[in-house]
Amino acid sequence: MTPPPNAPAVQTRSLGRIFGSMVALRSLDLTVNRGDLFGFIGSNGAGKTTTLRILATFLTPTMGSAEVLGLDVVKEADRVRHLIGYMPDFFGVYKDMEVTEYLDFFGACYKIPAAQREKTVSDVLELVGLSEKKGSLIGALSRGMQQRLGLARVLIHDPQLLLLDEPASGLDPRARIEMMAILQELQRMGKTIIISSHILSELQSLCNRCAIIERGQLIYSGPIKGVKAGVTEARAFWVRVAGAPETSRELLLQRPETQDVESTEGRLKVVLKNPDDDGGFIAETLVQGGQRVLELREDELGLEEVFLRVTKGDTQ
Amino acid sequence: MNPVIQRELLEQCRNPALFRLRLISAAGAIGALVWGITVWAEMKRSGNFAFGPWGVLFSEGGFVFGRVQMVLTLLILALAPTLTADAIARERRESTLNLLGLTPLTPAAVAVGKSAANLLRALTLWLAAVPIMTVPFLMGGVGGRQVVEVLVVDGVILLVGLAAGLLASAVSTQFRRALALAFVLELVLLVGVELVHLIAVIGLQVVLSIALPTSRPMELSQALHLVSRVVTGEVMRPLPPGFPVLSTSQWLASLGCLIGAVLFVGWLAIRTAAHRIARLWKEEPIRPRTLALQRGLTRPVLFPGWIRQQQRRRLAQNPLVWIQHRSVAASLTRWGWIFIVILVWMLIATTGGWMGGFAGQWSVPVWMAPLLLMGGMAFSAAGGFRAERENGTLELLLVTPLTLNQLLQSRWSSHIREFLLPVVLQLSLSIYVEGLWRRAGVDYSRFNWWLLMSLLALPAIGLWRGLRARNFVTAVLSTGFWGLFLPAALAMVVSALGNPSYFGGPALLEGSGLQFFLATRLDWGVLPAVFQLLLGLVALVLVRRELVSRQFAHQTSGGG
Repeated sequence: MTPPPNAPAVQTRSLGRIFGSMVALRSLDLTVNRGDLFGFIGSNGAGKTTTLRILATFLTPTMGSAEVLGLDVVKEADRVRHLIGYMPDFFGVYKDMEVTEYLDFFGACYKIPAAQREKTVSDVLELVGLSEKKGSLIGALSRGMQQRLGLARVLIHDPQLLLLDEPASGLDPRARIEMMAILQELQRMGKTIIISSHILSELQSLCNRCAIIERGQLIYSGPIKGVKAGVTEARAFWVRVAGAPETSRELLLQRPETQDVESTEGRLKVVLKNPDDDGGFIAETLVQGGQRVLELREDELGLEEVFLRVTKGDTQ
Repeated sequence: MNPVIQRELLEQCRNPALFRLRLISAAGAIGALVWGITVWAEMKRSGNFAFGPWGVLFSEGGFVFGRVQMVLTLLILALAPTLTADAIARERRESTLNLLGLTPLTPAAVAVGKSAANLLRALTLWLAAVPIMTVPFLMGGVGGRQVVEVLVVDGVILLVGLAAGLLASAVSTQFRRALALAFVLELVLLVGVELVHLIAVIGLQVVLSIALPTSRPMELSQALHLVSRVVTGEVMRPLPPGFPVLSTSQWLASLGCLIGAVLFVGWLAIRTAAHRIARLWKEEPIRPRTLALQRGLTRPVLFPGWIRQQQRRRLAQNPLVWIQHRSVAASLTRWGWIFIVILVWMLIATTGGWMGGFAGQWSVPVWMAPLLLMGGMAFSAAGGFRAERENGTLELLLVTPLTLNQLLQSRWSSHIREFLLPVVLQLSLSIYVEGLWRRAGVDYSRFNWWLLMSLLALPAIGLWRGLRARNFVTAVLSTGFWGLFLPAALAMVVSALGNPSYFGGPALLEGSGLQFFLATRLDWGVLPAVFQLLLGLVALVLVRRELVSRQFAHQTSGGG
């Protein structure tokens, strides 16, 4: 069951889905490369879950097409199901089952031979750090552990593409950090991961690429760095100096590279005329002017701020 | 006013399910009225009259009143636990119970509030049927005692049903489990009420020296048998000769004891529910004893190694069948139904059923076991995909390499397997008894056909309705409608077409081969089975379409 080589992990063309009179997804063109840890960002009702459900073969698109590892999700759904691991935004567990029974059951659903299942179950439990809980009833596990069990279920048939819908929602900080560490480990193992989340600061540090979606339409798709560049009008640096900042401000305003210098709470925000300028002149000017530079860093927008700028907050 | 009552009433006003339940209540009463009038006309024609509860010959109004009442009693028995079974369970699922715990409300106030609001809701269902109940009064002959008894019996069953639902709701968070538990508790509490009533009657005699008959259990108090008589339909059968008639004071004392007994049981239920709410508010961890019990119900006790090996083999063959039958709890359910069938036949054998119950086609014992089994099948099948829809695993199963046909066939056959042994037992016993009493005109073949076809058709219909309906009660009721009521109604229409007495003059189908077919063996007993089979096949196609369209994924799922 080898998928076509060199095909991207996910490719959608004019993908759309309508529920009655509501357009959940309209003309989505998305490409996710193999090995990506891809963040899927959008408000509630933006169409993230619908997209993931289509890719997971749960829903069929109303228009357009979607391919997973080169296979059409509608025409070759059976083959696609062996290649993907889908984790919805709820637990989906039988609470009166034991941990190993639950994984054994899904292993059988994925037609893993009985002789191989025991080892596979043991391996995935170790990977998600639940080895000690293998005999526990699922109902007695904490929320974080149930979430990890959900991840173990996703991995039971060794899929190449993981579709994770809000995998860290409702988890405490420690459980979230542990979950993110597991995802990074999975990426190192060569898995492609698409992760939808509302915790953008975590996606920023975790993902290499992302897509922003609003009202069923794609607003941005590409590298995380790229999305920041797209919304920032001019490059700026923050400067903190010893003593009063006024002298430093005047020194910097005399330079032709400077567009503006704002003084805020003892710090200076230096806005450059040319976005390609690396800002090296700032330190040079201040040191030559006899100022002691305590801090110099680029003004970076967080993913949260970028998200707020590029979206209008509309839901459907 | 208790804010819990206020909130519950507001919520109920906006819930369309309440209006549907009122409709069912009124429709049931109208159906019973038509049934009573038809049967009375038939009895009048044949000269075979019925007797009332005190051995008095029924008048037309009294007879029809009894029939309407019996249907209402059965409706109350079925609906009362459903009203409260999700009262606390839903609060727990939606995490609002703990919010109530942060207010000055006491656990008792919450339990009382829930009970009172649902009692009012139940009364509106009863009131929906009241206009129909006035018709027998207009016919004349409805006795004063009969009316009072009926009101007391309805009240007793209503309170017991609500109490059972409340208790079950405090124990389970899942509506389906709570409802199943509520029905079991309802029977237990009814027995409890009778026991408390018995003790009260004896106590009354000792303390006040009121002469209530105590010579024989049957005569200890006729009021003691009010509940069981109405519930089991005994109210429509002639009483044995010489059955004593109670004086007014004895009668009032008995009724008073019955009311006292049910109030005591109701108070006990509210107190227990309040205690449970108080424990939930403390958010105590699961007790080791409870965990051990849960584990015991999911792990094999006898020959664990061999059973695990068998289970592994089953899992490899078909994981979906395995998951349905893996737990001890599933086995307990299966054996529980076998026990119920045996219990019903033991009741028949030990309560004079050999003489009366077997001969009459409509005698209670004949239809009790099949009806209970069919109800159980509808309940189980309607919950087939429901639990998985609610816990989200249905979505996960649909993205595994299992095909839709595998999923459907496995689930359908699992439900058949769940009821196969009890149905085989019921059929075997009825065929055996029919052989013994054939000369007396005993004929169970209609029920047997119906039951057998229900075993095949109800799982399919239940799976379909379980996916379509927004809540579990609607799923069960609509399974009953499509799987039991509609086939019977269609069969009656077809039978009527072949019967000249329905339309006057020649029958619509006279002269045709179909009439001969209908007149021989394919009567209303077999016809419903045929219609059931057809509807079952249609349901299989529809449930498949439902799974393909994934419509269920866009509906909110929940309890009642």
